[in-house]
Amino acid sequence: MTVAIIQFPGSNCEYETKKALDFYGLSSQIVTWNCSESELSQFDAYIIPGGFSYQDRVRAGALPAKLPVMGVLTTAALQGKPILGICNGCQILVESGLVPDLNQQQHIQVALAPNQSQGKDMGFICDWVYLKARYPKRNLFTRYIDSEEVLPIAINHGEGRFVYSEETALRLSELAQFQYVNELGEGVASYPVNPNGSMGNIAGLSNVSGNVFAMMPHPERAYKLDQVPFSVGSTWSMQKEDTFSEKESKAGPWESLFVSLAEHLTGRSSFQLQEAHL
Amino acid sequence: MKEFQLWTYLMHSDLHCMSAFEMIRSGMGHQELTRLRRFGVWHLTFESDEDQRSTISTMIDQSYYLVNPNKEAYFLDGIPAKDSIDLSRRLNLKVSPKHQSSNESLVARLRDRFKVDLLTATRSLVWEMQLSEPSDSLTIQKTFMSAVSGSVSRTKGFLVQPLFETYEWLDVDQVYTGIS
Repeated sequence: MTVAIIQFPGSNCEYETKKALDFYGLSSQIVTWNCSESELSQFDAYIIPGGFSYQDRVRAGALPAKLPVMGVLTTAALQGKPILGICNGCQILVESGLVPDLNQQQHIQVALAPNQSQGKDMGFICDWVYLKARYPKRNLFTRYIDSEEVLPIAINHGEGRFVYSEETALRLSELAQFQYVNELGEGVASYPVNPNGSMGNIAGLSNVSGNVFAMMPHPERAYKLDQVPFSVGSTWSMQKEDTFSEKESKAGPWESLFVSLAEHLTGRSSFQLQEAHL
Repeated sequence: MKEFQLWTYLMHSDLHCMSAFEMIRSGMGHQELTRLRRFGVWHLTFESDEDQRSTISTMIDQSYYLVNPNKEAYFLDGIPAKDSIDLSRRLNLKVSPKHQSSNESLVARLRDRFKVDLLTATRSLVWEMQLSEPSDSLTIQKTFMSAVSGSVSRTKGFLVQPLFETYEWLDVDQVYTGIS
């Protein structure tokens, strides 16, 4: 059971992603975007890591979404294989129509616009934020996350503002999602809690079947306790202080996401695909 | 109140354009596209009805706010049409954000520094496309236009993201100056 980490020209988080998977005992391989269809389709799960594929030319994710590799990933998604897009990977999945894929025809129903706050361009944002999961049981990657838990995580993006139509908004409750919240777990629509002006404070979104997830923040930068900075001031940084005397790294806030993938792939606890309400 | 348009473009290779050109031709199969250029268009609105062209030139010469002269050049009002250009082969797609940034701080800076009555400064992109067939050949034009502009289909809509951008196909007299 091996996870393919797909490296596009300009990806820059593939090695950290692999480290995170190694930490949780997941076998993975970094493969290039132009490898053969037969090679790519042999993998059991896929992660599109963060970075700046094709330098974000035209707009982030627009070029890679039209490449043949996304045809292979569409087939994999329809077969129920897990696919996670992180940051630039999230932009690519959204531009490909794999998330949220409400009518299962890979139409583009969500977009990631340049960061804004109250009509003002915010530019590129590099910071730590807090997330809470909504309807976590509806996606393979989020199913073990407690919806009351407040999780710290890093963001690094210039085009991360989730926007969607009213029609899509009506069906969001069918989808697992992450929302930007403050340290107390309260949703505040304005900066800095919602750093990029996302509609509904959305930071990550599932597809309707629950096997594909696109998220702008970087779970691979908070997979172990050492990575959480003291500045986030959460219980996680206190736990980090407690482990200073220990030599080995402890699992971090995003353990559940990686463990869930591992358990699904090893068959210890398989995720059942959600039924779409067409 | 009077509006002026400042058309800026990169003097050196425009990598966005090169990639878009390759994707439209090879990835999307529209070999009829023979040339693609990209312009950033500033729409500058002034309170008075006076001709502000010389003021705009001064703002450009004495600051980097609107044009970066190290890498960009510009035209005022539109692209000068050369006699040799066959405009019937040209299509121009204007793409603007649905929620335009107000650029308040830029306007305030320009007003303060140059003592001008500038009211707004908004920016759009214009993709100038040349087709191998005359663009008034309706079938080709319609197919091509639908391929590159706003659509929810993943195989189309490459140059416009309809959820946060709007687009408009411009007439030649909205783009080129000096057309006889």
